[in-house]
Amino acid sequence: MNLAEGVQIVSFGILAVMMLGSAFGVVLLGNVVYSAFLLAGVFISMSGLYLLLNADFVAAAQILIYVGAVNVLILFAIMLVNKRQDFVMVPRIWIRQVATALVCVGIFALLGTMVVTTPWAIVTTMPVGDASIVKIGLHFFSDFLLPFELASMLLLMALIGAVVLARREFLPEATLEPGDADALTLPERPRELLTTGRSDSTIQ
Amino acid sequence: MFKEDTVPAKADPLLFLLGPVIVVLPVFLSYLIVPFGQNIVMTDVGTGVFLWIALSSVVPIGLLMSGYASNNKYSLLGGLRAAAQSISYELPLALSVLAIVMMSNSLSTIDIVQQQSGYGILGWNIWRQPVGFLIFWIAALAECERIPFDLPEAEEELVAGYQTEYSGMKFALFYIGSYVNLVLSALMFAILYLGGWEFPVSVSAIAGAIGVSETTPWLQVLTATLGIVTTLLKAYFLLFLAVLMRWTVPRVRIDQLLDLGWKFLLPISLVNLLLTAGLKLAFPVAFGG
Amino acid sequence: MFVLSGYEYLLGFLMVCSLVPILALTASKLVRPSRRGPERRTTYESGMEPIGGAWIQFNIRYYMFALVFVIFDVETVFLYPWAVAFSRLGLLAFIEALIFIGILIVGLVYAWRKGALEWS
Repeated sequence: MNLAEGVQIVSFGILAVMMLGSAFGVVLLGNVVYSAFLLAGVFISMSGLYLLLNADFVAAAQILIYVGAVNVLILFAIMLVNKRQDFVMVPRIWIRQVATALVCVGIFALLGTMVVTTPWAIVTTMPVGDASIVKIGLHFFSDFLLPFELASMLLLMALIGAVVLARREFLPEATLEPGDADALTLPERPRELLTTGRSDSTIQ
Repeated sequence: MFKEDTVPAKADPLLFLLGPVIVVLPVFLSYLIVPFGQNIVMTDVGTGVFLWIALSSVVPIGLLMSGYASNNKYSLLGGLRAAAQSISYELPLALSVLAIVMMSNSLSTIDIVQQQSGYGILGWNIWRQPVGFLIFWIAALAECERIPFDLPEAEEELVAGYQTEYSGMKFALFYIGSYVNLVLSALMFAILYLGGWEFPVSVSAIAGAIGVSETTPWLQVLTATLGIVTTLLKAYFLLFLAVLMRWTVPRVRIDQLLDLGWKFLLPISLVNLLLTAGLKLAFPVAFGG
Repeated sequence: MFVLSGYEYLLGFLMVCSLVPILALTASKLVRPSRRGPERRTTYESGMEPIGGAWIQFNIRYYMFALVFVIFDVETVFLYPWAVAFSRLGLLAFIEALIFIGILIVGLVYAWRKGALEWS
């Protein structure tokens, strides 16, 4: 049994509209938290598109990594620096805007020419379900072994870099803000833990 | 359903509504891959348990959303805590599932159960994964925010966590989601470690002993019914365990919780996975060759 | 050309599942009482008048955990194909995966030593 042709086209249409709509929302909305949640919408519709392209493992991985991990990280980061500050008008803002527009158009043109010039071949016999995952695994440990091991090095570097950066940039700032901390003492602050520690380990 | 639905004045109405929906939806969707018998499953997709893991990773987004939308300090703290807890325990959960997947060479839930069949109770994965099933159970309880891991709604410090501002049907959605998720975890535990629909004594062996052919219609109906009943009984037993734990174990503190997840369960589950791989190399027959 | 089997049920089930919250919320909207007053809609803060908004700055530690989580989540996704294909890969793949996991354990130890996994 298979999905009917019409259903596929309709779901492709819905996913594409959802993706473009939320992508525009991410860019255009003023509230950065809305943008972050809409980004999850973009990722989910992308995973739907992967599924329509028969890549179920990639689709599930897309949800797991981008929605489940990256988006949560972004949300945490936004809620960390969640200060309602008014945007200060930067002088000569149009220079930045023009530069951004140039970079974006450049990237779009590059990707566009790549899409057009690449000789896409449609694979007729593709592995389905478990077979595709097995195939990915076999490739990882034969001809793509070096990228696989390099990926772990990359992850290690990312981890170390993130730890170093986060410790240097955020920690002094977090401790040096008594103004906020006094008005809104949170149970998560280290000094509060001593007092709340006893009460929340009581037996239910 | 008849309760009044209050939206706090300072809350964000749209996100306030979407939050519980996003928490509930993936949980229901995961039932797609729960098999109750050889052919009694909604669909046998190739990604199987991976789909479950992927779907369950969407839940933190909903928790953060409802925590943020309430515009209440307790809610936001509760939402952040819930999300932190859920991401911390996702890794041990995924790694212990990975050890099972390695033994059955497949992500499909049907294949995982079939790999355990044949020897009755002795063939179940719980004997081959004594560490794995403990990790899985702890992580699953933590994912469901059950006591002793119900920190996000620790009454003494956070009132009701991200649910504080919720009332009426939206609150009910959270509760439904939480309990449905618990049932789902129990079912997954039964499938992954307790042989799914397999009866403790192999049915085909008994049938062979009495001399009934396996293709007899009434035997097939009996096997199917027995499969459903067995799966539900196993899940019910696990639910009983979970409720029992609720009244016997005190709640842990948030630092203890995260320590347990990151400094104990994660290394142990990595070692467990490597050990499974090593044992599989050494004894391919016993570990699914 | 769509060849995967079983996913038509995913689509159908997704629709059925989305009906559950929609129906529950609309049904309750029809029958629930509605009284409105400014007091009912204030934010709960242990019976006090709420002090300030809740959209304030939060703790760095959540962020550190999320960071480490992203790294290890990517790692587990890499390990899925390894686990599924393991029976066809043999000893060499075991050693390679050992190196892969070993490198990341170094990262975990580093994060641990640097206190990224400490709550207080």
